Amino acid sequence: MENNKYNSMFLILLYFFFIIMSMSMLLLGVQVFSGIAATVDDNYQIRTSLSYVATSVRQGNQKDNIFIEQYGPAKMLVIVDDNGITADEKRIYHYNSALYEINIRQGVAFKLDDGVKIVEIEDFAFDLQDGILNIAAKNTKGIYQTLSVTLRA
Amino acid sequence: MQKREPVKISSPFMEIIISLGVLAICSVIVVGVFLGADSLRKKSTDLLTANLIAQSEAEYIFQNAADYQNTTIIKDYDREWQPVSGNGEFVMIINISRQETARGFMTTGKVEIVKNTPYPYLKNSEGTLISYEVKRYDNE
Repeated sequence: MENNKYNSMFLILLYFFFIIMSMSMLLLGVQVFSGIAATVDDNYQIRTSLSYVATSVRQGNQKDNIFIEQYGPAKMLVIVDDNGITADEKRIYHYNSALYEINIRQGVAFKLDDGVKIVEIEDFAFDLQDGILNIAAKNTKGIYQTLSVTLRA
Repeated sequence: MQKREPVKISSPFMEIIISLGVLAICSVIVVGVFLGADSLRKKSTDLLTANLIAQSEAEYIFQNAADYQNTTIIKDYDREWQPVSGNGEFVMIINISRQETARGFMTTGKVEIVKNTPYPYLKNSEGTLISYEVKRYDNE
């Protein structure tokens, strides 16, 4: 009788062990998977936003055609495309936790909502110093990743 | 001499012991896979950061190409990619050579980022993370 009792106890303990092990595996898996998903998202947002701005700058890369301007609450990177007859502008700015772009004729007023959303990003900043454009994108962990692009004379 | 009686193990009990063994082996494999995946995640972020740092560095070099002759620059970074003075987890090696050609100067830059210690649970993960070679021609 006593022996039977111990056997049952041992079996129950074994089942508990199984349950705990399986639960820990599951939790570890969830943690690793959510970490991977968050990293993929973070890397995508940072890589896309930085590459997008760098490529835009390199396409119209001339010192005099690229400048930074405050427009309402948003700081904008302005890339001017002047063909001698008309001057168009590509304006890139951070608004509503996303990177926006708008292509307009120079001097035309617009609302920040009018732009096209490129990618969602926590924060994005530009800084132009000594012919080098420094671009910084903030990930969800609050860390800034930066990229520098040299403007051609 | 007294004969010892063999210990009888019931078949359900054996089944449980075998299941436990299988569970233990599977757990070790699964944990290894999870830890490897976590290291891959870290490697992916490091690759992104290494790319951005190497690109930025190449831009700085080429803006001031005339200031560089045949030079090697070494920069160390810690695990969080903060610059440190030596023995960093990541080391950036920049080799710059400037050669006179018939019509000007050709600056060649090689930027390489090396990881000194391997990622845990990833085989052969130390060594070169990325390597770029960039060239710029100046006619002055």
